[in-house]
Amino acid sequence: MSEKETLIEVKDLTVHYVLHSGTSEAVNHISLAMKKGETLGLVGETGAGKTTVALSIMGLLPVPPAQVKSGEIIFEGQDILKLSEKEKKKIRGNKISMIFQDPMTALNPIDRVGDQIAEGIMLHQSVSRKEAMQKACDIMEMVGIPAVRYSEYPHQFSGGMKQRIVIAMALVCNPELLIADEPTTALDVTIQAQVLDMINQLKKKLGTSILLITHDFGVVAEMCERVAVIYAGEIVEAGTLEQIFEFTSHPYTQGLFQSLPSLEDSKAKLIPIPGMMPDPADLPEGCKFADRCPVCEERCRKTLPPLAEMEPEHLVRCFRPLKAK
Amino acid sequence: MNQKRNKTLLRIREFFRLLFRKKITVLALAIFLVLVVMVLLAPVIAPYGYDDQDISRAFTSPCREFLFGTDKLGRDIFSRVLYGGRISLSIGIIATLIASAVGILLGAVSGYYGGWFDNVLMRLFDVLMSMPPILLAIAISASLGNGIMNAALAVIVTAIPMKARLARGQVLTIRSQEYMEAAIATNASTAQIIFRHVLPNILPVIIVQITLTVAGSITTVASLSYLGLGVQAPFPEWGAMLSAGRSYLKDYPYVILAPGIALLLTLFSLNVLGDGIRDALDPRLKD
Amino acid sequence: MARYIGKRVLTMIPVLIGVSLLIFLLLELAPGDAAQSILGDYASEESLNELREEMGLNDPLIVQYGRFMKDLLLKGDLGNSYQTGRPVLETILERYPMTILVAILAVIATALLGVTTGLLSAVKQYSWIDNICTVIGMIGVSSPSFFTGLILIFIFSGKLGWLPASGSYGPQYFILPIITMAFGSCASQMRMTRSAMLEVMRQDYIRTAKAKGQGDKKIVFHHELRNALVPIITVIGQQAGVLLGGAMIVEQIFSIPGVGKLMIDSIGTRDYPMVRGGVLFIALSFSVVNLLVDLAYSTVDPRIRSQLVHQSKKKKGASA
Repeated sequence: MSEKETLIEVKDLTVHYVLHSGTSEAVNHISLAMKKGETLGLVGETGAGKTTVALSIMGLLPVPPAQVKSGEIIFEGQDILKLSEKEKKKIRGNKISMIFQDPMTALNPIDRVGDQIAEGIMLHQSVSRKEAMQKACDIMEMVGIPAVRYSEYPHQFSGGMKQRIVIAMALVCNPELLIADEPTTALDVTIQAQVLDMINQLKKKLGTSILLITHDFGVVAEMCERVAVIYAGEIVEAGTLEQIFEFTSHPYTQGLFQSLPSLEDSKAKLIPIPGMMPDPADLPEGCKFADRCPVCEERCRKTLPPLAEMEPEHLVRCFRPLKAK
Repeated sequence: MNQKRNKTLLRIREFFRLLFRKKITVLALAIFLVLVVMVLLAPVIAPYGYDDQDISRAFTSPCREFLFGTDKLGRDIFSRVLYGGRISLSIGIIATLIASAVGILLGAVSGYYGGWFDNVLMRLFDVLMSMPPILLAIAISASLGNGIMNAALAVIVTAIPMKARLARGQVLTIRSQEYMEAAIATNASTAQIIFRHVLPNILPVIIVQITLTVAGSITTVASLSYLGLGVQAPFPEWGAMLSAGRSYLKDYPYVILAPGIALLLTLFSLNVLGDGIRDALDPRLKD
Repeated sequence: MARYIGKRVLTMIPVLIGVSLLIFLLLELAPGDAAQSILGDYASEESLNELREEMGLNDPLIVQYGRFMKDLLLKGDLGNSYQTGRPVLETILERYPMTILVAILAVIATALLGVTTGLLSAVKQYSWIDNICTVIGMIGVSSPSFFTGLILIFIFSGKLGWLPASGSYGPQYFILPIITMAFGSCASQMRMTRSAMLEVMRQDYIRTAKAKGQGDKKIVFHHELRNALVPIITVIGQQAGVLLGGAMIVEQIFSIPGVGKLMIDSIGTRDYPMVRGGVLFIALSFSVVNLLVDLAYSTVDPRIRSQLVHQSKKKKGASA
């Protein structure tokens, strides 16, 4: 896998939201790299900064209040953050596209769904309106919606169907990278599996890389080859699926696993992580997880542990990693 | 009980803090207060009576003696504008208060009891609201004849349906809420329920409406007078003054300027104030 | 859809009958009666009585009203003018297009002005443009049309001599009246546009459109403005009614021969059949405007459209 080309590289990204009431340090010195064709899971709690990373890649950060303090995002040899708005528009929806969390509100209520899919094709490809409509119909069939429903409006679809349309919209230009921000969180459990399955199939068919943002390790296990766990705007652990699942090293990652119900051992007690994530407007000095950590010691509160390599590809930000291979 | 009063005080303080946050609202309040004081003190401030004629000084341009000049009969426009303000403001305020009282009472009772009374009243209001308000006012004052009282009556009748509808809607909303059931369950009397529970809850909306209706009433009276249907000579109502001055517009524009600007300032301050109060009462409506 | 329109038209009928009764009774209260109005103030009591008997003015009110409604509904007859003796309907129909023209032009001007400034305010929220638009709009609402009109006449007709002050002999005659009306009513349009746009701009589907790489212009006009249209149209509809009333005053200011001026002149001459006809006509137009506004919603918003279709289908099923 490692011989594959790098598709996108986020280096040392720091994004703050500057508000009247204070500065919220949403993302701090995050680095990520994705290879072509792979699926990377970005896992963390609500407010950890996952969506901010996604919006930075899309160039859709709300400015103001958002400010990129440092870092670069290298895609096809260029730093996306330095591109002009016009150049960003050429990438958005074409080479990098995004699926948002809530399909109920992600579609324009007064446009026919087919037209909303065709909109992206017309923007990025020089095709006639008729060809764009034909392509939209094709991709609708591909995501499991009969093309005859082209002329219907979003309110005529169920939540799962809407998410299929959203996915069709994102994939219609055959992007290199698909960012999926909690794509199934708003859906019923039965529908979730269907939609995930479909994304997986489409990925194989189209060769798209996926950055999957989620808080659900079940989804990660099903979809991802590599995982990055993010806490309070920092990456605390990253590695292959196997490294993260079998050789969990960061206490926070372990806490996440322990707070999940397990299928194998239904008698195992759920252990919630005590406390709350620190306020991003008032982050502690040392390790951000120190207050909730079962193995925290003196130095954790004073100095931020570096993101150290436990073994090739497995990175952990902890002075006292739990176990190694 | 004491705690409840403290809470009310806090809410009032918070209301004023929100109200005065915007500079333009403070300005509007200042303008309105200055206007009210000047108009109240008209007999003291005005250098002349409102009908002191002297043809020999007709159409004097604004000068030290006649701040805003004189009209075709040589009457001091400044004095007339001051006295005119008494008519405009008092009709505006009194008509609004009467219309609000009647409208809210009718609306609240009709919403509370429903039934045939509600039905008849609402159909009547449908009819009254099926024409533009100014048309209704014109029709009423045409049939009653000219005069201050008739103009005021026209304004009142025009304003009642809106108030009643508003109160009725609010009552219906509040009725369906749970604390009403609780009140009924504790055997509170109807009057108690209306005064203790219904009215305090619809008050904020009503206060905003009243501010804006005062402005609307002043406009309607001025419009009627402008059309020759409201206040008649020699009374110095602002709309009537504009109407009388329009023939001399080209040569003596100051004849309409003073009453027009007085009208504009009054309405501007009331409208801005109404807006400010609405924003302060309901922070969700800020933008 | 047709069912819905039919239902709405049916509910208009009792309201209009109410209006006719109201205006009939109101004008009964008016000083002087028809006979006096026709024969003048110096007619003898004898000749007055004779005419009253002839016109049926001595009959009970309810009989008179019945006669009026019978003529109106069966013959489309609104009576004759006391002044000219011509049929009221004929005179009103002559003047009506002018009133409608003024009102429609005013609605268009108001909508253009209000929506543009509202859009600008929303896109540049909290900027100086936003503030200036708000304050000017507030001054507009606060300035009664007759004051605005007189000031405009003074400047553009009196001082600059660019535009005529009164009459209706060509397009240039309508410029000042239309500006007068639009200035007075564009503020509420602007405020509604602004808040509706700000609301839509926060929606997820706008982010979706941006994520597709859609350009700013298309996002503002295609995605945001069209979604904001429902509340905007509501206000346009309310404005249309108000402007119809406002047209009456503006016609008077600028001496435009419409129904409004006709009515106000007729009040002066106590030509009550004319006043009655005018009120009925304007009330009818007002109701029709409100109906059209409701229909306009459904063309913009597919959700409301399917709701209407759904409702009438359900009704059909229930009655079958």
